[in-house]
Amino acid sequence: MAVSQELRDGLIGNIPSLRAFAYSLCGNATRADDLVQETMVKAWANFSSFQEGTNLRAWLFTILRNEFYSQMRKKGREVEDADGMIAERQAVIGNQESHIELEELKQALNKLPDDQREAIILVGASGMAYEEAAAICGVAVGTMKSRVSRARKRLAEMLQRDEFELAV
Amino acid sequence: MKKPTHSSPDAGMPSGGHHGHGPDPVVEEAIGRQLRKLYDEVASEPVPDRFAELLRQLEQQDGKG
Repeated sequence: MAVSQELRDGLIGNIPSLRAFAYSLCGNATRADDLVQETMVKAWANFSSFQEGTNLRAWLFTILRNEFYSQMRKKGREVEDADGMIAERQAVIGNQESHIELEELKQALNKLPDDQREAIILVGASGMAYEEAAAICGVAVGTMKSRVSRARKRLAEMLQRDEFELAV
Repeated sequence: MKKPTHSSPDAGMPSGGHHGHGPDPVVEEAIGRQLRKLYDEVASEPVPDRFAELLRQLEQQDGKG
């Protein structure tokens, strides 16, 4: 079955946010783009099961998320080494009012439980509504809200400590 | 005049030395900003060529099917 022009354009339009989601999840640019590629291949093969008019972004994010976790399961949890992640993408931020920098945040994200990490990325980083994030992760809206709030709290605890250590 | 003791513990206070009760709002706000920055930085990059190439391949496959 041929993929409609509308779906094709929708897919293309979602590549930037898919890349951002993938990168926020795995912290590695190459791996993130591999995830996006795999997502596009799977989406293309399964477009016949997508109901046109429903939320394409949520559908694509769900595929990417499932792909991410299935790869993690296959590899066992060989987590990227922190140094590799830092070398990967150096972001320089002149932020004087707080000492939290992108690399510290990435390392802190990496330490969160999976469910909290994906929750804070979807809601806190991408700016998605709780409802959409809940649909992507297959949980109730209330569950999503509590995951986001626990993630915020844990990140603050981790980064507040870093800030304190840096200041000493 | 009675001074409120704990209703707004950190209003107007600098973030330094904040320990104990709950996350520091200044830290929370900084985290929120950095989270969006992490995401937006990648989302605003130009899409790498490999994806245009991939789409061409997918469309070609469809053409054959």
